[in-house]
Amino acid sequence: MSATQNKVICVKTVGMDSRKQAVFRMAFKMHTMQRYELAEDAIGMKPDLAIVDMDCVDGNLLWENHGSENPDLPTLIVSMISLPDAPVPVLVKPVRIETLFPLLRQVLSERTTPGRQNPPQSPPQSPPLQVVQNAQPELASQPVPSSVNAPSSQPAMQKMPEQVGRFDPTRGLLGTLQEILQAKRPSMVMIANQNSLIVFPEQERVMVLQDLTQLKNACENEGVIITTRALQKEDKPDNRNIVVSNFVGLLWQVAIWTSRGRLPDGIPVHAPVKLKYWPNLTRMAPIPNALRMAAFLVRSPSSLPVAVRMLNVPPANLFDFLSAAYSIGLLDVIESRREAAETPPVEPVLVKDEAKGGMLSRLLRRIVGL
Amino acid sequence: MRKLDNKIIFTGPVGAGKTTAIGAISDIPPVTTDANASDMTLNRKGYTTVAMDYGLLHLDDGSKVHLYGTPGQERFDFMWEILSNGAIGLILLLDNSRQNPEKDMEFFLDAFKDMLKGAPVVIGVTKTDLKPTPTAGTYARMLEKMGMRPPIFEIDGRSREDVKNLVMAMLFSIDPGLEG
Repeated sequence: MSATQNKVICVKTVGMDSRKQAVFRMAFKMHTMQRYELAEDAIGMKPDLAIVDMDCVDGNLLWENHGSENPDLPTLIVSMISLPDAPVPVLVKPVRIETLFPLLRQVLSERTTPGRQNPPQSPPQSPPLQVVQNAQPELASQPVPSSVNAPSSQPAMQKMPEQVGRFDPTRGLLGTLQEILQAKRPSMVMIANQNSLIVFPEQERVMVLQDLTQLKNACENEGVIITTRALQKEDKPDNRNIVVSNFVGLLWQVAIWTSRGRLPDGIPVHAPVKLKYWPNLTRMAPIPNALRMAAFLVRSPSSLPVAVRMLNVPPANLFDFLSAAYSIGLLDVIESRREAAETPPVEPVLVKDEAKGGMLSRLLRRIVGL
Repeated sequence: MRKLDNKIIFTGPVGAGKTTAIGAISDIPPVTTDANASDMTLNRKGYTTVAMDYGLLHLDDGSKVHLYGTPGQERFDFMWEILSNGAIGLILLLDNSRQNPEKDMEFFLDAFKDMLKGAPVVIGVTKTDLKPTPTAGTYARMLEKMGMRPPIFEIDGRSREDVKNLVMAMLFSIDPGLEG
């Protein structure tokens, strides 16, 4: 069983006053998929990882001391500037919930430790985007959590790929969860013969008995055997060691892990698609540009090439978003001409912002930068 | 084309978290006009906004966006129209722990219906930790039947990220292609 599995993860902070700690305390409180607590609040627990804030006068000294005292403690750095030569992942401020938790998971799963190394050198400024992408190369199809709310920042015009990757949404963990949802039967899901999830579809709740990294691995590895069985009386997990989550939120997350920039079978590239309504994006796993894609697809149906062109978002982001929306039943695929003709036209833009310098653009920039 | 007055309106029933949400993103401490609560309001909190809340966002060209919170009590509804004139959009906060938050939603959408002919609405559902239902999906399906599909998110009014998401969803509802 890994250090992160089924338990509270104790987080030591270095170089933080109570105000900085409060930011993380609130973030941890809001995260429902895994319980994290500051070491100050988890009296008697041994830290599972550390977060080092480098933005203080003696940041380098703090880092050196932390490395010599805790050479084997998985560590994340937070800093106002990117630090490309840092030996551990760097979270560039402002701290964003959607960036923080993927990095914490990465730090724990890869056990990125400070060792006894030199402090990271302050480099020339580079965009936070790059740091996050470098920090989690395995999430290539769902990179840059910090841009979940941000406008498209890709300077080049995005195009549909010539070959669109596909996956079968009825197979694997995603397919299993969909079956349980349809059957409306409380079930135990076993991954590689290990009890992993207890699902109560009617209550929309799920108990996660395994580390999220293992669930993610199960989504990425099609060879993993996934089975289900009806719940039994003895399936009473130790309540201290489980994470209770929202079933819809888990489906959304599992769909992203499964998609990895691919499209589910059942969504034709050229058929218009539309969202029935907005997903509850503040409580779902982040997808870059999700707000823009939701705003666009909820207005009127669009084919995928048109959506990519109009929004200028990377197709992989769009495919992840569509996969996730499809998995929770929010996506309508309009296949007949009659249906397409009956769909309402695109609503007019209510207020036209004047080019990039318009007030709305400036407001967006300000809000993203808060 | 509608003329905008660089302001965003936060509305919703008493105790939904309007003052807190404005404070989460405002550049200045929110200016509030609170008074001791009386009558039914007292059951929900000890003080309440009687005129309006005010916050401010400074933009990079020196201009400002004003954040106005309406008083939650219905007897101040004459303020709502004055405040909402020319606004960029409406952020409606619903307190899920109230007795009938669905009815609250219908009430406020009706109260601001004139404004919403030309401006988007975004809905934030607060206190879902106290009462998880109705879910955001339940509200969304209700709204769909009313012919509306606005963004509707569960939020914690104290969380800057959540309030940022509401404002960004409002901006993308105006123009999904908007670039910052």
